[in-house]
This record gives sequence, structure tokens and C-alpha cells, in this order.
Amino acid sequence: MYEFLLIFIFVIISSGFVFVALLLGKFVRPSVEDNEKITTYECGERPFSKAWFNYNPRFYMFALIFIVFDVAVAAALPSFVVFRYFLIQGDYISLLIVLSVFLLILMSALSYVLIKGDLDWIRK
Amino acid sequence: MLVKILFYIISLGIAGLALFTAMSKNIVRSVFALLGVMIGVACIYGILGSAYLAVIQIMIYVGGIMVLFIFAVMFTSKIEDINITNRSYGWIQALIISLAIFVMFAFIILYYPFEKASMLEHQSVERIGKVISAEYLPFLIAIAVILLVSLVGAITIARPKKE
Repeated sequence: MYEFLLIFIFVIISSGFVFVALLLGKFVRPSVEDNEKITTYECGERPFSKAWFNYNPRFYMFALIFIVFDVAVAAALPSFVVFRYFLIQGDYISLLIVLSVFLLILMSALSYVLIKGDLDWIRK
Repeated sequence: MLVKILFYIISLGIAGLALFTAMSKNIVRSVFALLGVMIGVACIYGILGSAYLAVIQIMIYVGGIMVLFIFAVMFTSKIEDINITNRSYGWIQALIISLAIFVMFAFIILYYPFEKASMLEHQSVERIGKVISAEYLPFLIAIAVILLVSLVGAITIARPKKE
């Protein structure tokens, strides 16, 4: 709980730092108007066209596959974390079987997308 | 006290961003406001002391679902024409439905005998894991099967058709 409060204070201070530094700099630096300055920074490349355009649908497939395994991790992580305790207590067989089946089902999902070629960037 | 102030600030932020999501004329801005709502909800989970839920909220909703949303929005036709991407229709119907849902939630919150838990109580991954592993094991299998089915279904729908 208080760790979260610390994180929150950290976020506030760090974002405030950016704001204050930019504000202070605004008073100190000379202001030279230039069109080049207000163009979008693209790692040194000169930007062409707009950033808002229709993406390649291929990205969507990867995001979909990612989400499924994301949820799987979220659902199964607590059981994997406590597996140690069950191992010490000795009644780990049912947990082991269930987690293995869980992984097996997810592996079959992964192999489905692999075999169907949904993870190939360049389609044959 | 500090926690309460923080709670109210975050709740106000969530409400404002949710309103912005519903009312913005620009669908891309709507999506990013929704992203802020998700992060705010994660902050609320953190305040309530549920670290695991907060992390999961960030991981799945902010890191996964919202990316999917942004991709879906970027498929919208005429995305470049920013002013017509998100027209608001049916204000009155929406108002009625939202009021009904609000009354329902208000009744539940006021009259359901919730068990009082301390806000500072620590809900760790271990505790959740022990409960799941002791009592809800079959549900893990069910979740895996549901995920498999939804993955296959979603991929089948999303896969580009062969010419």
C-alpha cells in the first residue's frame, strides 16, 4: 500500500520536474522562430505524410495472439507462485496435473497459430 | 487522509476521462482518454491494496486491450478526416441507460452487506494463488479452454481471406 504511495509521489515529482525544467528553460533560452523546430521529431528522418493512416492489419493478428497469452499468464501466475508451498506440504499432484494441462492447452493454441502460419510476417 | 485525497483526485480524473471518451468527436483522442481511465482504475486498485490486480490491470488492459483498441481505431476508414470519426448519437437514450445503471450500482453499494476489509490489508499474489490452487483448480482448465477457443475464433475471423 505505502509502496504505491511512494510510486505515486515519485510519478508526481518526476513529471513535475519535466514541467519545471521546461518552464525555467523558457525564460532563459533565446527564442528563435523556425518552422523546422515545430516539425515532428522522427529520429533525424524528415517526416512525410501524416501519422494517422490505416495500419497494416497484420499488426492486429499479433496483438490478438499476444492478448490471449497475456490473460493466460495473469490467470495462472498465482498458482505457479504458490507451487512451492504445495510442494513442501506434499499435496502437489493435483496442482501439477492441472498446471500441466493448462500449459498443454496453451501450447496447442500456440502450435495452432504456428501451423496455420499466422505468425509468419511474410505470407507464402 | 492523504490516501483519501488521492482517491478522490484519481476518481475525478477517471470520471472526467470517461466523459471525454464518450463525448470527444475524435476517435483517436477517445481511445487515449480510455487509456487514461484504465490507468486510473489501476491506481484505484493500488490504493485499495491489491497490488496483483493493479499490475494485471496495467498488463492486460493498458498493455494489451488498449493496443488492440488503437489498432482497431487505426483501421477505421477516413481516419485522416479527424472531425467525423466519432459522432455522438442518441444523447437521451444514453442518458436514460446510464441513469438506470447508476441507480442500480447505487442501490447495490448502499444496501448490499459488503464485508468490511481494512484498506491497508495486504492482498499478495501468494494469497490469491493459495485460494485458486486449493479451491478453484478446475476453473484454471476452463480458462485455458476458453482462451484456446477464443484465440482460434478470433484468428479465424481476423485472418485475411485468400483470394
